[in-house]
Amino acid sequence: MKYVAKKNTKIRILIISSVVFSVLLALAIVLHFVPFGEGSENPVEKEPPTLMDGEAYEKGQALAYPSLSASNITLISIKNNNEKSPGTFHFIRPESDEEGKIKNFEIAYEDKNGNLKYYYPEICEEDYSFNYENLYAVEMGDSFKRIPKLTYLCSVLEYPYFDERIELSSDPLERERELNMFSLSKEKAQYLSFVYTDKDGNEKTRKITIGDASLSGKGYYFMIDDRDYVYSTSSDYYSFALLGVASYVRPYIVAAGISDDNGFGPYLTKNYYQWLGQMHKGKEETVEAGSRVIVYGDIITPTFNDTKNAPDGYIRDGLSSFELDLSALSESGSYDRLIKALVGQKVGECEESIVATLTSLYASSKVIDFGEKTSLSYKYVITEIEAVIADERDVTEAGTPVGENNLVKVKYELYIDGVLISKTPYHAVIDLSDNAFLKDGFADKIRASSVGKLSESIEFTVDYTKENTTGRTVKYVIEEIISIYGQNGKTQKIIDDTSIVSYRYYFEIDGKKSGESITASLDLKNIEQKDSDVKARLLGLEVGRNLKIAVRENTGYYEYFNDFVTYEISKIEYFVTEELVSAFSFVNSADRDPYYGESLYENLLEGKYSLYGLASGVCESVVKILGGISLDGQSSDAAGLSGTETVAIGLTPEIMNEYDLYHHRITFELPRQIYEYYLDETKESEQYDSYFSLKFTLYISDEKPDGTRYIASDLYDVVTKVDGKNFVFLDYDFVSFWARRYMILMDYTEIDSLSIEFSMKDLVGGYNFDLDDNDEGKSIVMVTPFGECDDNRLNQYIKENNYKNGVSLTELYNHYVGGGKPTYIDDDTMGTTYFREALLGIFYTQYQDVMSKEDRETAINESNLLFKMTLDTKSAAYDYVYEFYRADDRRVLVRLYKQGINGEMLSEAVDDFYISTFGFKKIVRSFTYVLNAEEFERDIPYPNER
Amino acid sequence: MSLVKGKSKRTAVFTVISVIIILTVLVLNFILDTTLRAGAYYADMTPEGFYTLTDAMIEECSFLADDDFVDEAGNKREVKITFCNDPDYLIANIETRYVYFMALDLAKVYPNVKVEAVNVTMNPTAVSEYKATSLTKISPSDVIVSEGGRYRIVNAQRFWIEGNAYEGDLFFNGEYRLATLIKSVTVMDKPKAYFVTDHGETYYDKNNPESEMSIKMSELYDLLVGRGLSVETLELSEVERVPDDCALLIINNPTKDFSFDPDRIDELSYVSDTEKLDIYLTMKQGAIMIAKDYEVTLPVFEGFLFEWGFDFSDSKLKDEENEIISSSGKENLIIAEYSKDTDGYAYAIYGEYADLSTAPVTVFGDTGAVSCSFRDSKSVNEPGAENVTRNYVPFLTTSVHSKLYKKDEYGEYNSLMGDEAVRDLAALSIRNRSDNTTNESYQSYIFCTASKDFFERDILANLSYANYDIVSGVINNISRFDDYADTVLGGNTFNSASYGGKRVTATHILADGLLDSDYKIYSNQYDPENPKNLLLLKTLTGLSTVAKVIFTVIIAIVPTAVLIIGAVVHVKRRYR
Repeated sequence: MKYVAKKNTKIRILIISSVVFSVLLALAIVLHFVPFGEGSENPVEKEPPTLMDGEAYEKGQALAYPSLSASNITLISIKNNNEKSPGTFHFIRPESDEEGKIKNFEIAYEDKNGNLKYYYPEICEEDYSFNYENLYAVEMGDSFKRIPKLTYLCSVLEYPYFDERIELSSDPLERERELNMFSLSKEKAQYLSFVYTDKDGNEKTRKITIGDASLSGKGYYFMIDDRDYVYSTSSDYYSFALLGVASYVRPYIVAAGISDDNGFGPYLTKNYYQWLGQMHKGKEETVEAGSRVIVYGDIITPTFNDTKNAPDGYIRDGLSSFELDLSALSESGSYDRLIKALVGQKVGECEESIVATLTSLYASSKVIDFGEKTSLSYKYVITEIEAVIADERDVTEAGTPVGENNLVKVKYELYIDGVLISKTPYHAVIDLSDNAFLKDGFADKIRASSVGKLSESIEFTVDYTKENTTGRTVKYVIEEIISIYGQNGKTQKIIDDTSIVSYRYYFEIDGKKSGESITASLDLKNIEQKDSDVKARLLGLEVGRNLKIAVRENTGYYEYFNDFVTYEISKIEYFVTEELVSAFSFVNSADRDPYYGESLYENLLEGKYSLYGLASGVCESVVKILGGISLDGQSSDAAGLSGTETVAIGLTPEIMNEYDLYHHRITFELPRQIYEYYLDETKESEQYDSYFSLKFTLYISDEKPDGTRYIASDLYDVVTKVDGKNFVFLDYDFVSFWARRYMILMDYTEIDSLSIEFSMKDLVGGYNFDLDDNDEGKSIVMVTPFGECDDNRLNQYIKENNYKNGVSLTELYNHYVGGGKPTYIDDDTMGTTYFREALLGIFYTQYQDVMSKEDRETAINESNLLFKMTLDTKSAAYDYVYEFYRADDRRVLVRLYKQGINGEMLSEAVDDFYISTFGFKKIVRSFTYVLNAEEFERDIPYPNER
Repeated sequence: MSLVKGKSKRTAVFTVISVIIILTVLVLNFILDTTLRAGAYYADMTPEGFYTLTDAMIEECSFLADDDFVDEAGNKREVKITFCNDPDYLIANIETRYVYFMALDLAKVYPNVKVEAVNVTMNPTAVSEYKATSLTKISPSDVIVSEGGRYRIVNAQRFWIEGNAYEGDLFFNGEYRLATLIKSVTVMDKPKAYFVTDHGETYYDKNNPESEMSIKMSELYDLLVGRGLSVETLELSEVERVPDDCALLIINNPTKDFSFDPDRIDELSYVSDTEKLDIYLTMKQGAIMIAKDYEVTLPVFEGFLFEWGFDFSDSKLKDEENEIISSSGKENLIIAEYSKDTDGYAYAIYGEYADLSTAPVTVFGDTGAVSCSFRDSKSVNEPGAENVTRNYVPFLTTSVHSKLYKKDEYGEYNSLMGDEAVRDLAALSIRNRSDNTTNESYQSYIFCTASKDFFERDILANLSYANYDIVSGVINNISRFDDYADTVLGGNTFNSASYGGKRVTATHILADGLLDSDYKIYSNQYDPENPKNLLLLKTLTGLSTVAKVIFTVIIAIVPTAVLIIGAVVHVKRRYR
């Protein structure tokens, strides 16, 4: 049996081996002949398609045209037809610099009116360290998260490989159906064209029409130039051509810090202003003074060139919506007429267009260029009275007599020394009250005329000399040398003309500063001839501030005829009023008012809320958010503020409205290149300042249902989407959020005196605590009672010793606690220490909450006054007065105001907050302990109960 | 005798002697072991006498021997110190060893102090009476001090503190800690829980236990009694202050506001009813449990709560995705979410539940939401104070989907307020005062919920919910009524400050006096010449005196004696 079993086993092994071998052999044969299908891990290489004209075959792949280098592409234009992001935009490569260095693409787009707009935000000019390439949005969907989307787009253009070429039907209907199928019909297709320089140096243009994603879901269909077939490609990068222009722009809001500042930039933020906006769209609402008005109309300025574009002598911006910030305009003083015309107007279509002309005193168009001559003869031939400029608006109705109106807009021909300057008519505003126009009865002739074409022209001839014209001195003044980069890097002094100088300057006209300071950089090596005087003046200067160096001075001579600008407004779309919520600025410790000395930030609000200090931590967290510093302390890098995506470019009123950006506005100055300095040689107190700053204005929407907000940044000129969780601070008012909750928090040594008055039912009396230093530099506190006082140890002691000028707390405690011997706690006397403890008790008492207006009005009543405290600080010429009024069982209202030395109120009182009765009684008790020379602990509120 | 049979007589004698010696050693070993265990006899072989009990400690605990330290029946009150491991483990562990020996010493001085060692790993039920909740864990390194129905459980680590001035050094703070624990459990003979009654509250009336109101509160009453508290009622407006024996004040569903005298509130000396609560919470370790109906507005009482961290809304809370129907089928119950913050106070109370994959649920019936009234923080300094904070702690919360509804024009809670969010169903306010001298923290607590029936029988008695355990845990944790030992026992000193004090490092403890290493003894006073350091009293090097004696005996005398005896025997035999 064993033999039989062994034999069976052998047979079984042989059979199994044969079967396995046969199966493997069959598999090998089948796999050899059957190719793997699509999606296999080992695709069989396909035969390349037969090349047609213009196509190429490189690196084993068929290309729709021979490959090229992105650096040779000078222009990419995209016309986007998709619903999500329609529009036309361009990537334009500026010409290479003199050294042949290829510049990066710049972005341009067509606005809704078809006007080409360059995306060249202010940050490019304001931030000397800025690189335009930084504006390119990067692709976050790849694993690199740092490659610009534009690079992906260029890769498609550089290397346009395709998988299939699909012939189109010759039948027009069938062909249209096929194009529709691939979304390549005129209505659906996206168009991309680009210009490049070929190998021979010739400029060529290609057009790519892009359709849908391929049916397989991977790759796209596209057409090249006018070729009559469709390509399919497995490249997904064509999706980049379907994006809107906003997707190519990085969602920057606030600039990242620079390494020199080590992340401290945001902490030193200055001039932070936050407004809460309210949009007024109602047809019955009328424009309010100081509001931001969004109008529809045109802005017209006269030209002084003979140009075909302005045959009537006017240049028009074109009808569009634009914003007029009446508050900002009112500051200049030149827009009063326009403001008058707008304020009080109803929202909506104007019954009669508002036409307001503003004259510009310093317009360069009316400057007389004497050249080598000492006199020039000007002949003005007035052919038309265009308008009489009344106080509120221009009167343009024909036939309106000029009469006693002084300002008249005229059309004229100009002859200088007998030569007609231009065939294009000139326009100007003349002020008939000017004595110069009395000559030859010119003013009278004009006054006798009416609006409209003159039947007979009126001439005015004047021989301008430098003596009889209005001469104005214009100075170019450098106020600060910010930085100097020489051959060996950063230096302190401009040694030679190899330096690159960053500086800040302003114009001074007739001795007055005109406009804001401007930051500029000058490469002295490449300076233009016209600026050689500036260069000469700069040599030898050092980095510094408050310089006031006039590097150039000119005198301008102006005609009697004034330049002007006319606003024609046909519709007031809406207006926005704003309420200032918070305003603060970083302030160095040496510059702080000791009363607010604990806060890094100074309250810039005006009016009664200026009395409240700021919650420094709140301000700090806000500037950290804006500066991109992590609130959770994870990162101290000022990474700048960025949104999650850019949704629009250009802050036009339409976009502002679309993204609800009128709700909040913030402006602030982010310091750059911080430096530290000391007030004296002891170097005990570091102070900080910066060489320059970036001034941002942010427009922010309300929070959306998905928890996001839109934020627009003026320096980046974009609207971005952000996670709203860090921006809840926008929803609070000043009192409930920004105001300091500590009643007082200041350096004890800055207090000159403290006066308290009890007026409770079981406690009355007034006491004045005068703080001074003794010979050893230690504080001594003299207490003098005043008014009717309850009996206590202090009063007893004064009475027993017949003191007239009060007693020191040191003496009082020595007597009652020390039994006549000195008493000390640590290194100070017991009396002074416990007075300081009482003060600290006040310092550590925070306002509990805000009290309603009704409760405040009820509480502030003489009969409810429990306690009054007057604080005199060493550095202020006024006192801070705190009055405490009983509101109810748990609440004591605190009223605060400034008081002059004669007891007069110097400020409006603030009374928004209350403290708890618990906290109030603790303050009062601590003073009663002091007045009774008793020891106490601040942390134990009810010591007698223990 | 078979052992000696056939041997020489001398051999037989030596054999017998050997047997006797062996038996004697065994018997002596047994007797000694038993005696030492029973009498807790041990030899302190450290040079500094670490295991001795200082006079200051004996003095601090002298109240244990007072004649009036008796219970209601006149019997001497007995303090039990329970160690949760076997003695050999306790002795082997440096953290427990010192505590154990100290307790044994104290027991020698005061016979009514009993020390026991129970292995809780082998015999967990031995300490089940000390479990606040069914899932409370007691560690083998825990020490339980108990008297009557009150107890404190402290880990042995808490008997040591790290020095601020000497980072890394451990200081034995055991005498202060043990005295404090004993005082805490003995300070009140009968701690009480008071139901406040004068604002329309729902309370347990001992005099009328069959009333509908008492029946509603009977489960809470039983729970309070079970936690060692006797239950009373209190008319707050009729007393000058909350009674000293109040370990827990319960304000359950007040329907009328707290009163004050408008003619007297301008007096510094006037104390209103809510100020009585302030005093209760700030003068010692007060504890208040509050259930307030969100539908009832009580401005004064809510003003008090606002200051302590609670902001009540008058809206009804719904958490529709996280509700169950009550057993009566009449109402929806919100299932509370447990905090997962393992460092948080709430987790300390019910962490065992939060950790369970199928945790028993805690439910809330008709409820509003509680939120923190402190602005941008969960913690604020108490007015005027530097080392006192009031801290808001969410205790039980809703899911992220809860919604608040205000009353609509028809008086129904249908008007949605705000978005879906996590909201607090119950919260705690903890007042914490730190004493820089003793490193001690003093706490008072307010537990608050906006569910008026949270403490009522219908919910507490339903064993399918965790409510009973959770409330039990809360009561156990907040109704502390600690007293503290004199600060002379505290501070960074070893054993006692009154005798110069001793500072010891972890290294020194391990060295334990038997190794030749530097051994510094410091005063608890600072060195006048170098105020940043403690005054160094002396430095020891080498072995301790006792160790030297032992080493001399074991290493030198015994071998020498054996050598000499051996030599003598050898010489005698050789020259016999």
